[in-house]
Amino acid sequence: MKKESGQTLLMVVVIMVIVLTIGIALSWRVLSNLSRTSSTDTSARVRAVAEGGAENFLNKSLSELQQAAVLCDGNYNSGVPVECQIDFPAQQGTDPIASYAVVTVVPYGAGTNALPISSSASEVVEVNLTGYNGNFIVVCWNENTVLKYTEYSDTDVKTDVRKCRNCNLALQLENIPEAQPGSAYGQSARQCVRVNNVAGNLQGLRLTSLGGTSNFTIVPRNGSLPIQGYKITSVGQLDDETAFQPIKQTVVVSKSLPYLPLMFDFSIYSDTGVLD
Amino acid sequence: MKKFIVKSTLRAILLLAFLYVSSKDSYACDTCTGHSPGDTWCDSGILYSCNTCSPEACIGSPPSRCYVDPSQVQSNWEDCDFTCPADAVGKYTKIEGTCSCTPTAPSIPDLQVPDDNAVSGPDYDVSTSGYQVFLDWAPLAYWGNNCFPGGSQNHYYELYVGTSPIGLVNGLPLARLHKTNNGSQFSDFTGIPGTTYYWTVVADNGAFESAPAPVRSFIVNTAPLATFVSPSIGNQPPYNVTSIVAGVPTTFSVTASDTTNNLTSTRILARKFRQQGSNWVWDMPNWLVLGETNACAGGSCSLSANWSPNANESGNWWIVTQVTDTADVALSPYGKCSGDPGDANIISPLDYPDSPFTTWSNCGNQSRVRVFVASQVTVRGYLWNSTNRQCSVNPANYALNATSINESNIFVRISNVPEVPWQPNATGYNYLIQNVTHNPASPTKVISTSNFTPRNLPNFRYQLTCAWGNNASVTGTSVRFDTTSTSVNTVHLGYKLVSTGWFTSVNGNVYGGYTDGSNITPSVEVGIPLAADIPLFNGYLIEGAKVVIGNESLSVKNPLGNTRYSSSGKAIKLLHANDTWPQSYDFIPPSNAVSLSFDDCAAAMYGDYTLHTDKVYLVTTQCLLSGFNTSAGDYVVDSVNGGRIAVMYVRPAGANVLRFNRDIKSSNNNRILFVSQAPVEIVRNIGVAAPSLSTPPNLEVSIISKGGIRFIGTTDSLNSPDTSLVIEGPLVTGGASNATIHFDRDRGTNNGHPAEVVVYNPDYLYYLTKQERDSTRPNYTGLSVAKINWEYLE
Repeated sequence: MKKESGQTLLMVVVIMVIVLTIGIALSWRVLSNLSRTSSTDTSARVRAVAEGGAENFLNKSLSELQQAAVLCDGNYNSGVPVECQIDFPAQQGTDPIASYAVVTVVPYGAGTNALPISSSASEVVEVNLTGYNGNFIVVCWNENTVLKYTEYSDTDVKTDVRKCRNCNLALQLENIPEAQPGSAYGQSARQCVRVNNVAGNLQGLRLTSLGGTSNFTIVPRNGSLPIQGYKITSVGQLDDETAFQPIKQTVVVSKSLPYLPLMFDFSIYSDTGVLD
Repeated sequence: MKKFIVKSTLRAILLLAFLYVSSKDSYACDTCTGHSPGDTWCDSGILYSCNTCSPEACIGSPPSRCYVDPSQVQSNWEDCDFTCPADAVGKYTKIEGTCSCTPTAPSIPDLQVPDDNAVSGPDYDVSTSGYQVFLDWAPLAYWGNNCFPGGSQNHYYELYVGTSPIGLVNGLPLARLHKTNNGSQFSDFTGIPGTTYYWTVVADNGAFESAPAPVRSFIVNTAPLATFVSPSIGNQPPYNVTSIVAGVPTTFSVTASDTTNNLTSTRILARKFRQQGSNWVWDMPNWLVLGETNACAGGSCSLSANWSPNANESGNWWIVTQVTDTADVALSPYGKCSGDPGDANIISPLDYPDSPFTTWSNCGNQSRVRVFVASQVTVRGYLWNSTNRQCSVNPANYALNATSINESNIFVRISNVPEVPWQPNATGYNYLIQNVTHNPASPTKVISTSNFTPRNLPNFRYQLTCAWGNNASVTGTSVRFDTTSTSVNTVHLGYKLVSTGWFTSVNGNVYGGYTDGSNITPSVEVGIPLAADIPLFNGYLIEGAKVVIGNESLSVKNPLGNTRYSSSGKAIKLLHANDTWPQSYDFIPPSNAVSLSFDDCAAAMYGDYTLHTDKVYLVTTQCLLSGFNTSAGDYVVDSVNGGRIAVMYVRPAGANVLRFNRDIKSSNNNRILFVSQAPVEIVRNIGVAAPSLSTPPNLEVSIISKGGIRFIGTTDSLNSPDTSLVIEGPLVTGGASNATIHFDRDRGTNNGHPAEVVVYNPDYLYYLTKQERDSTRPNYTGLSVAKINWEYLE
């Protein structure tokens, strides 16, 4: 009988150890989650701050962005100019902690380098050609899509269409030639189109991907592309000097120069109806 | 004895008395036997006179009587002891005295002819060409006593005639027309037809006039008239009826009339004539009676006669009417009438000596018609497809068949012949019409068909372009041809497929966005005419090396089934894009839009208010329409910073539609872009007759519309075709479901011209982009977009 009583005690001790172990583990897990939640919430807040800073600059006109590109060039060694910092003051009762975003505006796309630009299906994107002095432009892409391109100046406009090489398409084409192979222009892309400059003061090359999304590469030839837009880098953070390692979030937004949508490429355009 | 004594006594007394008397006479020469001197008396028929007798004056032996002075015996005295007749008291004088003579009036005459209220006047006096009315009364039975010796020498009848009865009309007496003692009639009265006369006779015995006979009246007869009521003829010569058809009954109906209400008969006569050299002559010896009635009475009489001439009776006929009334007398024209031969415009047959009209009056201009009895022929031929073919080809090789058309049937008709369905499966023809009249004098017929449309070519219609047949020619939607005497006339009708009205884009791409997932319904549907039919364009949907894109299929074909997108032929179909419309294109004007007052908005449309390119305007449909209606002046857009486009947002207010009802021109090279929430209409009365690639636009504006755009077109392209409208592009609809552009204009037979020409103006693309990039306001027009990429860095 004594032997049996000792076994029972052992079993109680073992059970208690197991229960305690489980309880400690659960407590540790809860404490860990609490810490992680606090960190994530702060990150979301600073991301929102960064987005707010970027959107503030997205709403500026082109001329304002041009000015911002001078003031907010990111060279902030002597301090961030007030024009380049967007403050989000604390909100009494709802958000006791102030925040701010530091914004940098840099033009992009200018130069002799190839310019990547993407177009979703039936979306027109525009390459700024104002002042372009090259001989022509090569547009390359790899997707199974059709490229409609329109180059225009103050006196002329030219539209043409090329389809992908050796590809099958859901849409039907009539008399649409294939694009040239990329190798014809020294490009590794599957297909390319040469766009000869139209007469007059060039202003833009409008690209529309038909049948799917296309990632185009714009290759200037013997000339430099002008500025295509502005890259807005916004870094959001909390206004908390006591923080040992402040949490920052960075958002980079590129905004092209303004241009007109697809229907301006057409003399007759019905979005949803027939022409009859 | 006693009697004897009495008798003897009486005899004695008488004898004594006699003796006394006898002794007295013989003695009474002085005493005139009881007569006083100066007396005259008759005795046994001898006239005695008691003069102042003396014995020596006594005569006789023995002198027994007084001397009678022969001078006292008047020759006209009646015999002695003449008794005055009871009925002529006072008429006579007798020796012994004078009858007591009191003049008396004649009796009242008794009128005989015409009867009271009679229609009179049948007698015809050729010499006077007038009506001779015979007036007759009974010889007077009693003339009364005029107390004249030989009094009948003074017996007269006095005839009174007038147009008013005695004492009945203004109290005017009848005028004495005639006085005669020779007979009791008068035959020289000439009256006016249709006039009522009153008459009476008075007897006059020289001493007295009788009372007038009871006044009678009579109406001088009028000749009847007649009018054809069927077939219809005009009011003027030559009164032709186009034709009637041999073997087909034709009803000739006339109505006769007579103001003296005494019709008796009506006839309809026909007689054939022909041309002989330069003259017309009768072609049959007698008149053919088509219908007759002797039951006419009163003042109106109708007669209808059906006539179905035989085939061998084709030719020219005169159909005339003859009417008689109760006054019909052989040589008088006044009781009967016939078709009038006297019209100078009527050809000569009616002047032919054998005509029945010499003793007939004129029934009137409407009483005769000239008809042609036509023969009948069969007309047949092919309805054939002449598209892109010469009219001289053999139509049998290109005959239309049942699969050529949408309709289940085609009906072919010739004037005045019931239409018949075509016979697409027949051999040698695909239509046939029988019983077509052939009239050599007017052989022209018009043949046409019911409307039929080509199958599977919704933007085309058949247009009659070729005619083959005797003197055949196309006139609108019908063919005119001349029939021939052959039993079968062949006429072919060639139909060319032509556009029902088409539009073209000059130097601009075209996009049709309709999507129903069927891959069948075309997003762009237009029928392009054959190039040969297009005078000033090249016959493409797009003039220039552009591209046409359809979210669904495309139907851009000419009538031969060839696609006609553009000179490059580039097209993309079944795009099935769903999101080409920018989300920002919600037709809500940007916050910086300038809301124009009504007056400024209206004035801006005719140049009294200047627009600027650096501004965006908000206006209403109503104020724009007011501006369009106020003046046709050009609008003015001032350039700012090199811009050239003014943007004008239009919201519907006061009018649900933005309606362009006149040319809208710019005073310079700058333009207006309308962004309209309201549907847009372009009315019919704007346009040009013959547009070319260089024709200036009627509407120098660009339009983006949420509610669709419609070019209003005619509903009667044949008689009221549209003109061509030239407008600048971009011409855009979107932002709503099924936002369509309807190009409804139709040039009719001039559909070689595009009905709508949209000229792409790249200025809108270039300058609006430039203006947006130059503006100090982001997206100040609300029309620009930008490519934006977001990237999050950890």
